[in-house]
Amino acid sequence: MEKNLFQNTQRVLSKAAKTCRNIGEDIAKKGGFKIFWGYILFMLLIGLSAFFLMALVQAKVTSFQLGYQIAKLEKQKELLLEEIYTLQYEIAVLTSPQSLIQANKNWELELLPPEEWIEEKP
Amino acid sequence: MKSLSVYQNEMAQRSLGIFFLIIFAILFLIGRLFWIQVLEHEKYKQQAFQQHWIHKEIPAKRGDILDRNGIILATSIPTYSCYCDPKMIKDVHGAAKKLSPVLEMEEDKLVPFLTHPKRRFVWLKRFLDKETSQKIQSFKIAGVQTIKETKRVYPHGKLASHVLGFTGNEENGLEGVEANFQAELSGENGFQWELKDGRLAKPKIYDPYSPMKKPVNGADIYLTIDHIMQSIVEKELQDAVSRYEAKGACAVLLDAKTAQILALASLPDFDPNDFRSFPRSTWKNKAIADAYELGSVMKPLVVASALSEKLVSMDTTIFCHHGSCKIIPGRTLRDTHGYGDLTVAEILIKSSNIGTTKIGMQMGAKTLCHYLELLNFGKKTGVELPGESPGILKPAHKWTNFTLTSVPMGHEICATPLQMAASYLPIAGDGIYRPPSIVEKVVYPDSKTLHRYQSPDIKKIYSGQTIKEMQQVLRLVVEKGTAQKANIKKVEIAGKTGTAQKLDSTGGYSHEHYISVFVGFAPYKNPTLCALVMVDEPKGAYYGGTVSAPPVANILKQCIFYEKSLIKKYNP
Repeated sequence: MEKNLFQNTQRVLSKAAKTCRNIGEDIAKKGGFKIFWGYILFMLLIGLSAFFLMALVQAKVTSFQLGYQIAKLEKQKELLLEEIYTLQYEIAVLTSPQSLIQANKNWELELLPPEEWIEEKP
Repeated sequence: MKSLSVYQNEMAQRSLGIFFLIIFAILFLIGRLFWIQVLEHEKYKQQAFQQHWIHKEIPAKRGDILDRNGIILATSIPTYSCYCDPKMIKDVHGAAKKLSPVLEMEEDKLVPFLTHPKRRFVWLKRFLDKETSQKIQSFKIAGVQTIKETKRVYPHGKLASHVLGFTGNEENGLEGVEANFQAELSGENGFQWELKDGRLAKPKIYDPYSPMKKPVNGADIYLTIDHIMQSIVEKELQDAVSRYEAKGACAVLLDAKTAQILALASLPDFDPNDFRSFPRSTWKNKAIADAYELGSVMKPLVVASALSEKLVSMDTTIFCHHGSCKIIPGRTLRDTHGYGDLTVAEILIKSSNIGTTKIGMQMGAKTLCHYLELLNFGKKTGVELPGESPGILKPAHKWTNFTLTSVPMGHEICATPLQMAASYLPIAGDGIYRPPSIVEKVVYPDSKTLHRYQSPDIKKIYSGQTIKEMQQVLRLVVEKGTAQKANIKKVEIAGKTGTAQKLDSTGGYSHEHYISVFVGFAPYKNPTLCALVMVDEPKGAYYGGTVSAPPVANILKQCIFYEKSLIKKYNP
């Protein structure tokens, strides 16, 4: 039984070696030069693809980094806008007629009513 | 001992069994994979999406409301609101003790919020300032957080409150311009999907390709109101109400050339920043929402119409029956003083009921009603404010003899104070009726400006001669007639008084409750401003010439000088 198994294995291996030899002979017949350049071209394509893929990854990483910067700046812009809105409101409160009348009273500014703003012509 | 063939047979059977077992397992896995990847694809996709992404709403800023000079009358400012998740709070009393002084709430009042049995989101206090929010954050109480919100604020307090209206907590317009221009003011909220990591760490993962929509801020509404003039009008109105302990009052100030509303006030008023603490009745804009029988201010309109129809001239003499006249069967008219023959001009100067009614009767129901319709009585003016009343004007075919003898005196016809003021503009201006307007322009965030103010519906009612004569005679009303208290130095005012009895609970005219009105314009030869003041149920005095004429005079005087100073400032 074991002997048969050994013989069978040997037979398969010798067949594989023969097939490899035949392929080698075929390649030699068809021209090794062409195959060499084909191989080089294939490697070049692989290299280029790898390069472009890496560039793509780099571009994506950069875009993410820029995205974070944009988000940060937008946050700052938002805060500044909020501050502007609050300050505009405070200006409006302080310049409202009621506030001015009160300020005129409190600080005795002696501001004139509208009808006395213009000098009368004789 | 088993023979080799039996052993081989058993091995073959076992191998076959294991083979099928493996095949079955692979088929099961493929089946399960198909189940998950194909049949339940959407469910798991959604679960994964919810785990990885947060939907963040970006609120649009509500547009501002500004006056004609670009002064902010209503705006939105960022504030912070504090809320809690009661289930996450471990030490309720500790949290209440810390929060109580910051939120200015008693501990006992805070505890029920912090221990709410059903809800997982409970507002503790809204619209806090930034410092308070930072303090609350610094406590690091689990389950207590603050979020940013915007709050609608009105920097001038009560000023123009009836025009501006107010918004609810969610910034939805409920009254005034806020309600009428809700769509324009509110804008469109945006959104952004944010990637999150396993611990929801901040900053979240930024993905430039994540779906987002930028918010579109609301449009700014520029009113025709001038905040200084509005302030002048409100002060004068307040003084009149205090002096005569009146129930209420309202005033309208119009640009005589364009019919733009420069000021519109109503008393009692309210502070839109805190409108809930004022009675609902104060929210009503009496100048547009209530229609009144405004009495003698109707007389100049009747006379002007008769002049236009060439039925009378200013010198035509009319017998006024010495103060009492049975004008139609069952109807006796009275004047406050007895007059014999009066010219048409004198009828206006002395405000004779009998004389004006006779002119009205001479015109007839059809013609008089036609002129009143041209002046827009019985129809809404179309002012850009909610809740406007059209007033009451019966169609000509429904007029009785009683109507014909009532309308010339300002009875059986109801008008809002705004309608009445606008009806004087053809006399004060170029004879053309222009509908009053309160919105000058709407400016969208992309700077596309939509001018709202247009007056396509203009009608020439009176000729130049009629206008000139009416202006002169209304000036005489102030100089020699019923409105002498409006005769002040520096500004030549023309106008007409009105005193109307209010209806009592029985449906008859009251002898205690009056409405005092004065409509005036200035300078009388080339009017730029037209003002109306109506005082409701004044005490002590009730004649329009006593109660309402002085505030109108003060308003016109101050506003004309204010306008001149503006012209001088910007065109030295």
